[in-house]
Amino acid sequence: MNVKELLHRYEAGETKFTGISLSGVNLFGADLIGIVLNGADLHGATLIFAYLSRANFRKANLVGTRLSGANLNQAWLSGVNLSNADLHGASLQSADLRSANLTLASLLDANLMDADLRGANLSGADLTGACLRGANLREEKRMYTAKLRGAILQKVDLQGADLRGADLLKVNLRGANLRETNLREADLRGANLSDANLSSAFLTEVNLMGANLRGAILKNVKLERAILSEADLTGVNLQGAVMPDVRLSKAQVSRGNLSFARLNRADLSRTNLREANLSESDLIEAYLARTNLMGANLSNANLTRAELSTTNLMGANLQGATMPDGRIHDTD
Amino acid sequence: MKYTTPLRAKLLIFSLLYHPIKKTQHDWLLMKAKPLDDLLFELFSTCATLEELEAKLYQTAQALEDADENTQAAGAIAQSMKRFYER
Repeated sequence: MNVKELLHRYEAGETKFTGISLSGVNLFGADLIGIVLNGADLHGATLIFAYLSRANFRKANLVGTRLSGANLNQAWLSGVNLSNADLHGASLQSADLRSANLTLASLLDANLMDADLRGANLSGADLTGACLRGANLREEKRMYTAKLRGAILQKVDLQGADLRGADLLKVNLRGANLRETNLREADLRGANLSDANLSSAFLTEVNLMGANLRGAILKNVKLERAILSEADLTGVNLQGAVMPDVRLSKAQVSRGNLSFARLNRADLSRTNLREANLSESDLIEAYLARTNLMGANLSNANLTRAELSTTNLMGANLQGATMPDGRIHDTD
Repeated sequence: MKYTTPLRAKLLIFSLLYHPIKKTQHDWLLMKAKPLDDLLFELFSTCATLEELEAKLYQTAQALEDADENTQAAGAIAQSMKRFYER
């Protein structure tokens, strides 16, 4: 079938074109709202600025297809192959992209608000400036694990998105908006989260081992049982963070703001907390073996039953702090 | 910005700030190199009032191909930027 015939039949009211071959065709700006193209072959086709809302592309071949500026709102794209496709500035709001292959796709400035991306493979995709507010990327059983390994998510807007258990190994999320994002149990080992805003994010049991969190805003985050070993948290704002049983061994947290943070039973062995603000924090039964707290502010902190025998407290302010034996530290 | 696609918005703002976008490879690459966030910020810096912003957006939209689509985009951009002028 050629383009002329397709447009003619669509205009006549036909919408079902299951399994047809349209590879390499030019459908620039075409109005094909609600068209059914499941299992169709459209690889290398041009669909720039096309109107494709509520279109059905399930299991279609869209490899290398040019879809920049296309409107794909509420489209069915589950199981579609969009690898290497150009979706620059496309609108995919509330689209169903479950288990879609988006490897190496360009999603620059794309609108993915409320899109269902469970199990989608976004490895190596460029999502710079994309908006993913309310998108769902959560791991569900084993068959639905969103893969974002090595993806570029710089300055991406993921506010409120569901990324539970997502594979985000080594992703670049520099300057991203991750406020209120659900990242429970996500794998963020070695990720770049510098200058990202993670305020009120859910990071319970997240793995951030070796991640770069320099200048990140982590105010009021939930970090229970999270792994932050060897992470770079220099100068971060963790004020009021809930992080019992967190593992921060060998992490760099110098000059960080951890005032009012709840760090009970935390592993802070060999952590660099030089000049950090830990005032009013809870450190009950925390493990501080060889922790560097030089010049840190621990005023009114609760260190009951904390392990401090090898901690470097040179020049630290312990005024009003509750010490491991339960007594209150005095000014002398 | 729900009522237009991000690329349509970029095309219109780029045409307003620099030169009318043509469907050439060169112009498409120029648009790709400019993030939408940066274009919106430049637009805000260029237009002192909401009235000026709206006038320029609609004028640019009318001068481009696909005037209807671009006029719709002009409305969507003006609507989304309204709050910045009300501060």
